[in-house]
Amino acid sequence: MWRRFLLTMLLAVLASPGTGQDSDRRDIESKLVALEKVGKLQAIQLKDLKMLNEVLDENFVLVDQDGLLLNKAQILAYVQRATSMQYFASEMTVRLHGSTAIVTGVYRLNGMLAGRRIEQHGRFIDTWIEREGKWLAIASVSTPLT
Amino acid sequence: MVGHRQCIDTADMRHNGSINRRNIMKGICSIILLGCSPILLLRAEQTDAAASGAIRALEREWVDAQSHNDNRALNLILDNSVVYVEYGRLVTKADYLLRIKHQEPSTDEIVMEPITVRVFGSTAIVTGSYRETQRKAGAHTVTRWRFVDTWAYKKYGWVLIAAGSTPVRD
Repeated sequence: MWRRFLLTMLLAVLASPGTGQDSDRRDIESKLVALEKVGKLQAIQLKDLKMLNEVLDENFVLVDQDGLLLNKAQILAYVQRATSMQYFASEMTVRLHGSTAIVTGVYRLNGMLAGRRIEQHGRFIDTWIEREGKWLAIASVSTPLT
Repeated sequence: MVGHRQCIDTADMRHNGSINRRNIMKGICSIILLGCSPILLLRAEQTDAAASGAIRALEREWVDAQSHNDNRALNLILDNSVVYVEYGRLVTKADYLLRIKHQEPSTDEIVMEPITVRVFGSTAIVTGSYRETQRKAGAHTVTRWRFVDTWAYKKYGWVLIAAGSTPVRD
């Protein structure tokens, strides 16, 4: 009886860290998807530069669909100059590598910039790192869907 | 009374002595910390420089392995859960290795242009561009690509965890 009880307890103890890790993993994944939606998509649509400034690392770099390399200051200026922006993302997947995360997805961007219409449909890869409990985007690359 | 006063004085002196000793220790610690901070900074810079050098070498190895259909080398360079976007398609490690295995060697030529490596602890971002020459039926096309590669430092060293490139529009 005691043996069975101890075995059950041991199994419960051994199983708990795994379950905890899975739940932590899911929490981080949900957090990153939320950051993509609110910190990136919504911030661009609403021209919320404060939010963008918070989620993008100072050394953030982006390669856009046209193959242009942009830094954080250039992205903030781009968003500020745009007269209207509609940004949608789908098929988002998060892959965790310790304190680094890769988020992939498909996006559609419609807007107006300096009287010119912008229409993009592509795939993106975003890299996030965790620093002092906060997730920051450090790089992004977009490529047209073929 | 005197004795008491003396006792208090002695206690004060001891107290003052311990404060002085503490201040001296604080001073020594500050000097050591101040002296060490440039060393620590230098060590961090050296670590970043070493990481940057290792990643630059791996980028060259990757191009080399791809052009020689060296799947064994590619298997070591790419993490098992690598995310690779090729021509807008999301490709897994298995898909990529299969393509390389069946690709004729040296049909495509890749000329790398200068790259930039940014190290964020155990993560590194490489940005750069390359020219790809594809030869088909006697004709050749040249495309310039710009890319972002993400490397992570794992148990056995740096591995590629994500890569994406996009054609540069002139």
